[in-house]
Amino acid sequence: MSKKATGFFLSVEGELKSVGAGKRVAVIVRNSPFNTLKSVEAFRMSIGLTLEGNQVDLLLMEAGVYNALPSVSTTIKRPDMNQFIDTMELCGIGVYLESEALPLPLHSKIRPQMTKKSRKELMEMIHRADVVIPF
Amino acid sequence: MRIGILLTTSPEHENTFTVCSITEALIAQNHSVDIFLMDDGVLNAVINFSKRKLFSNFGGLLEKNVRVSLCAMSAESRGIREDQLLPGTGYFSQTELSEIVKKSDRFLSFG
Repeated sequence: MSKKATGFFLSVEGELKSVGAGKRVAVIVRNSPFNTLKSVEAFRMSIGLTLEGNQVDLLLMEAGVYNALPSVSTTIKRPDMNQFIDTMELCGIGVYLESEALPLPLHSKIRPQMTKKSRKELMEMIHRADVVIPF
Repeated sequence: MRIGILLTTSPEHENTFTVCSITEALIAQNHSVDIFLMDDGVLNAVINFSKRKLFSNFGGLLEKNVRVSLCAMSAESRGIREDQLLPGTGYFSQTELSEIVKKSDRFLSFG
């Protein structure tokens, strides 16, 4: 699970906000990157969920594991998911993929920001989460 | 209890009926409900006068003090203006969803 600092920060509106006092959230992506906007929307939502101090983990499962491979989605006029993936790292979001769901020859090609986990480990993460959002 | 609900499907999906029914049952038992509409879910909050319109009772839920928020980016990207929305709803950001998740005792996702 990703670790986040706890404490307070001054928002752009000048309000004192707490960090780390939110819930543990597991967002599950089960769709491949290009046939639907759901994957990229899950990435956007994951970043948004950190704004109130929630600790978010993004789990790529089933066909969702193909989001772990580098791609240039703008070539086919889809939203650029790379911008979200870079931001997720900055927000402390852990991105994990189901190793059994990705064909072995592709394991060496996954994005460096992502971590392989077994299906069982992902199930344990889902079990530990306060909130689970399947996308 | 405070219940948060995320709905990401349009009225053509039976999730709309499920969400409306669950919410009415929760209100009847004095729970408070916050609904966040995202992606095609924002279409549930569009005013529709058609006699053949698909079931969507968000207007009725708003009259019962259910808070219904929309993701502004989802709505704008689908060409939905704020004046096309049911009175009582409005554009919000993902910060609103984050707050609902944080403050709710139970959170349900329909997508």
